[in-house]
Amino acid sequence: MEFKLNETQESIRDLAREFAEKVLKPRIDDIEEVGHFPTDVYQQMADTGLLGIAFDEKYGGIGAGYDSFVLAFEELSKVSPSAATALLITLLPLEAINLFGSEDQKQAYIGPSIEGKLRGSMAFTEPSTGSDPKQLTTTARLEGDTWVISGVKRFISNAAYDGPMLLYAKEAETGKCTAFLFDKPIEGYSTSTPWEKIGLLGSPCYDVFLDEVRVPNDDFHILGKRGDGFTILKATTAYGKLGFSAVFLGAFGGAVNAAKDYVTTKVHRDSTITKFQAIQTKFATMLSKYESCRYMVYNCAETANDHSRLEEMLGQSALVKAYVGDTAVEGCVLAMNLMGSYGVMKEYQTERFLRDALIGPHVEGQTDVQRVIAAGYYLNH
Amino acid sequence: MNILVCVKQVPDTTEIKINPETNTLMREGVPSIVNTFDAFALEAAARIKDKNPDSKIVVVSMGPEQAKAALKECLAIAADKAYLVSDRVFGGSDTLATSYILSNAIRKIEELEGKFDAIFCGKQAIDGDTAQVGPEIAEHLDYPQVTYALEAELDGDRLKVLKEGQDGNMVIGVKLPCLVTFTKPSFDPRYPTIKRKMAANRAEIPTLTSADFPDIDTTRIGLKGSPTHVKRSFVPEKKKGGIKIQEETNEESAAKLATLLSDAHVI
Repeated sequence: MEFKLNETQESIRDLAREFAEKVLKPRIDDIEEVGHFPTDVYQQMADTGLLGIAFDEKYGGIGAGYDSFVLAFEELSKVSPSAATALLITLLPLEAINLFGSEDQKQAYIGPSIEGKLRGSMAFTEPSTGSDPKQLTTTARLEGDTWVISGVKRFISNAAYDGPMLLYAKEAETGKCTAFLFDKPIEGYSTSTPWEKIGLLGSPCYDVFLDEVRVPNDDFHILGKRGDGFTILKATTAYGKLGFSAVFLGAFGGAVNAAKDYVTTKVHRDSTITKFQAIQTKFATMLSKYESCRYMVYNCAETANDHSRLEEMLGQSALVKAYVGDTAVEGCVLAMNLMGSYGVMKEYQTERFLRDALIGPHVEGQTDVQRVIAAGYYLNH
Repeated sequence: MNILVCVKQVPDTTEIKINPETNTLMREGVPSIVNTFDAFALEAAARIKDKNPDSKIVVVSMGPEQAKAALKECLAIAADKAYLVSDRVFGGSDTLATSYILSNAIRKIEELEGKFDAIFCGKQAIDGDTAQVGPEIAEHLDYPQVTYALEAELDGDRLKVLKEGQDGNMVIGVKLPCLVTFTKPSFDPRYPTIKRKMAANRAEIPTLTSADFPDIDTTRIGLKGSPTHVKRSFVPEKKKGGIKIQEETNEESAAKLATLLSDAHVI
C-alpha cells in the first residue's frame, strides 16, 4: 500500500494545479458563459497534454495512467469543474474507442482529439430512457450497405462540435443495441439549443436529432461487434464515472479551499473565527468527507489502470460515483455554511462549486442506479 | 539557429515578506522561480524555434545546485538542453564577475553544443534589478547587443528586434552573433506541457565548475574579484498613492488638474 505520490503523479498534479490557477482562474467568467467555452482556453488545455494523460504514447498520449489523470482533473476542478468537464466529455467516446476500437479507429480519433482538433460525444440517453437499452427508440435500419439511423438523443454534451459521435441505436431487424461511430456533423444530424442547467455551465448539453443519418455498414463505423452496444456502454461509462468522480471531488475541494480561506481570515474581536469550536468541528466534518472521497477516487483509478480488472471497475466506479456525487453536495453545503452569508454570494465561489456539485448525483448514471450496480457486483464478489 | 538563454533562479517576489524588525527580506520558505524577464527571453527563443524548427535552445544558469530546478522548468517550457555553472569559488560574485564567468561558460558550452548565433537574457533579475549582466556578457564576448527587446525574429543573417523605447518602439536589425536582453512583451510566455515536464524531470543537467575553465583569471571571480559590494539592503519607503486624471479631452483633464491643485491649496 503506497500513499505517497510518485514523481510523475506529483508533476502532473502540480502542473494541473498551476495551470488552473494561472490560466483558468482569470477566465472563470468566460468559461461560465453558456455555450461559449473559450476556444483558446480549450486549446491551451489540449496543448498542455491534459487530454492525453491516460492514453498510450502510441496514440499521442502520455501513458501516465488513470492515477495521474484523476489527480489532474481534481486540481482543474478545484478552480473550474466546467473546464474539467469540457475535457472529460471529449474523453468519453475515446475511452470506448481505446477499449473496444480497431487500430484504424484509434488512429483516426484518439490522437486528433487529444490534440484538441476533435471534440467527440457519446449518445445513449433518450427522452424516454436513461439506462435501459431495451427502451431505446433510436433505430438503425440496414439498407443495402448503409445504416439509416433515426431518433432523438437527449442531454448530449459536445454535440455541437466537430468530432466523433459514438451513438447507441437499436438495430431495426434484430432489436440488438449496437454502437455506431461516425463524424459529426453529418447530413440529417442537428442539435437543439443548449439545455439550461443549474451548474457546469461551461459544458453545455443538447438534444440531438437524427433524421435518416446514413452511415456505411463497415467495420470502421461500428465499435466492437454488432449487438455489443450495452456491453460497450457499461465499460465506457465506468471510466466516465471515474472521471466525473474526479470532477466532483475537485468541486468539493474548491469549496473546501474557499471555506478555509474564509475562516482563516475572518476576524472576530482581533482573532480569526477558527478559535470557535463550532467552526473547528464543522471544518473537520467537511474535511473527513473530502478525504474519504479522495481515497475512494484514487483507489478506483488504480483499478482503472488495469484493463483486466474491468468487471471490478464496473462495480467500483458505480460505488465511487454514487458516494462522491452525494458527498460532494453535502460537503459544498458544509463549506457554504462555514462562510455564513458570504458563502451564498457569487463572489465567494462556493455557490458555483455547489451548483456544479449538484449535477454529480445525476450525470453519467443516476445515484440510485449506481448503488444498485455496485450492490450487484459486491454481493457476488 | 542556435540560441543560448541565460536564466537566473530568483525568489518569487509575490511571496516575499519583510521582517518588520530588521526590515530585510525573509527568504525562508519563499518559493523560487525562473526570473520573469528570463522567461520572456526563453519565450522569444521558443517563438524563433516555432518558425525555424531545426533551431536549438540551450539554457544556462549560474547558481547553487538548487538552481537546477529553474533549469528543469525551462526544459519543461521550451529548452532542449541545460547547463548549470556552479562552484564555491564563484560565490559572492558581483555583476561584473558573474558576466565574466558566464562568458567563459558560454565558450565552454559552445565546444559541446556548437557556436551560438544569439544569446538571450532577461533585461534584469527581479531580485537584484541591476540590468548589467546581459550587456556585460556582450562586452566580454565583443558581441553587438540590443537591450529592452520585446520580440525578435530571424531575418537572414540578422535578427530583427523590436526594441522598447521611452517615446516609442523601434525595429533594429542586428548582425549575428549578438546578445539581446528582453523586457515584458504583450503576450504571455507559453505554459509547460505534461510531456516536456516529465522529460525535464528525467533530464540530467551537467554542472560546469571552475575546473572546466582552466584559463579563467581567478582574480576576476568570486567576492575577491568583484569591484562592487552591497553595503546595505533596505526596503524603500512606499510612494503614497496618486490619482490618474484621464478626462475625455486634454483640456478637460487640465481643468480637472487645476481644480484639484486649487482645492489642495497648491495653486
